[in-house]
Amino acid sequence: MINRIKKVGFFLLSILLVSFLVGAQTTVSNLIWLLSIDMPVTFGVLIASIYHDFILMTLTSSPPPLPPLPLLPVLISIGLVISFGVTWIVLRWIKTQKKYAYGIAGAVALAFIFYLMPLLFFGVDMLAGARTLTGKIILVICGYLGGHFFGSRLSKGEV
Amino acid sequence: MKKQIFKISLLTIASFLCFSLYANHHEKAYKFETIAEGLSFPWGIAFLSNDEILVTEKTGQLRIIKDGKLLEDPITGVPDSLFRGQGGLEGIVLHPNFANNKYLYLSFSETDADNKKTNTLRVVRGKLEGNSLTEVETIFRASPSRKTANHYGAKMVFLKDGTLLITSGDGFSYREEAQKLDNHFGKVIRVNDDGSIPADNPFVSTPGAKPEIWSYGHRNLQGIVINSDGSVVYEHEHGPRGGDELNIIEKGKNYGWPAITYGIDYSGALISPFKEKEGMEQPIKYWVPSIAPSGMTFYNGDLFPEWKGNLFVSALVPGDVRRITLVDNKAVDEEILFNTEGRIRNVVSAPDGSLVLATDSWKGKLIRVVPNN
Repeated sequence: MINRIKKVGFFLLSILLVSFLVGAQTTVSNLIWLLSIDMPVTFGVLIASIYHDFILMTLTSSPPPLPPLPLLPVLISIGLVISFGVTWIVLRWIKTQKKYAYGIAGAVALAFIFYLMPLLFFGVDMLAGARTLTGKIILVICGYLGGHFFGSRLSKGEV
Repeated sequence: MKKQIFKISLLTIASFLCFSLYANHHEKAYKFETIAEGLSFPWGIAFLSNDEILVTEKTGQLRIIKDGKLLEDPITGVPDSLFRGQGGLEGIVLHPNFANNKYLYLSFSETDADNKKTNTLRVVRGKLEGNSLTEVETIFRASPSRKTANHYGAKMVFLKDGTLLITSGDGFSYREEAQKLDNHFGKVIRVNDDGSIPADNPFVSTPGAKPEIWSYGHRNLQGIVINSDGSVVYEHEHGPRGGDELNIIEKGKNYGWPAITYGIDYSGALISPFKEKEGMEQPIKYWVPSIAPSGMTFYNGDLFPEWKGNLFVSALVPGDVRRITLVDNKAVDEEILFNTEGRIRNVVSAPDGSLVLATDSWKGKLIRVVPNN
């Protein structure tokens, strides 16, 4: 029972971690562009922007007509539930380190989310940071880090 | 106790009376008359006369309403448009000398001939002869093309010098391009009536700049009108989550998007933490939260004398029309009107001084607003 609670806790933490990283990637990519056109982006602006985006993207419900949920973590959790579930099954037959297996699962989940998004929204990447190939690669790495964190926590506690 | 009940009852009755008097007063100001129904996403409206109206349907047809009747056959000769996302057959404007030359101008999204995955905004003109559009020629094609089917702009207005302003949206995913002059994303375009480039455009001699550009730094501009003497150009544009703007457009100016904005991204992320910067224009009004401004008219009619000189902005969300009072080109007051008809796609002034609204749906309507007396 305690192990299950721990697993859920680690899963929620990994969602939070990925959401934070995805948000920060969008923030930083926006600020880099603003810097390129000589807007006064300071270290203070960077910190304030990352904080703003974490609160608004991860912890705040979407406005109508969208469902009243924090959409980014919800999307990420759906992706991670599916990919971690598949990984859990695969790991019953294939012996490998959990942290790498779940890391790859996290990366695949994010890749799918950002591949599917433009198909649903008339070619539009709803997340600004996902509009370039570099941005997409960084977001996939964010997914890997979230999965890696989840897998390594599982290995450490052997839960 | 009885006294208290009596007092409360009296107060309640008085409140109801006051409310109904207030409501009656407002009901009496105007009434609606349905001009036509069954239009599929009516978008642009142009008056051949008070009782002969041209309407574009976003699905691709140009329709005529004559003497209160929507004619069954659409006008032939209209180029194919891309009906997808926010794209389709959209803007329409008559040449200032239409009575003599019969030219009308249409704006629409179009799939690229050599790449079916990309599309762009195109403006054509043609001669309206009977029920046909003839001698169709391209006046403007936005460049480069985009993969998205969003944010076309596609509104047009003739200036008093006979040149044509066209709004060209930022394509949603290409917002940073609005700050560059080498493309048509997020720009107001100015061309002559035949599509040639006026010699006094601001960037004709700027190396690398598109010579059609009149102003830049815009997002999705869906309203552009001039005042009664043609001296001021008003434009409005959709912000993202908040930050819809009403601007006065001037030659060569930068309106800031997306470097400065009062809105945030749909994801909740900041697009920019900055709201102002030297060298970038401020709106005369902005809306947070968004109202999704979709059309605009400068009212100069006689049917509603108290509204003369006001701007009317149609809004998709929650679905109403905003009457903006202007004093010295500043928006000093806003009244919400016509909020019973759902999403309003456009509002225009008719020759007789009435206002005409287009509702936004598969079964869209054209509604005339006239005085109630």
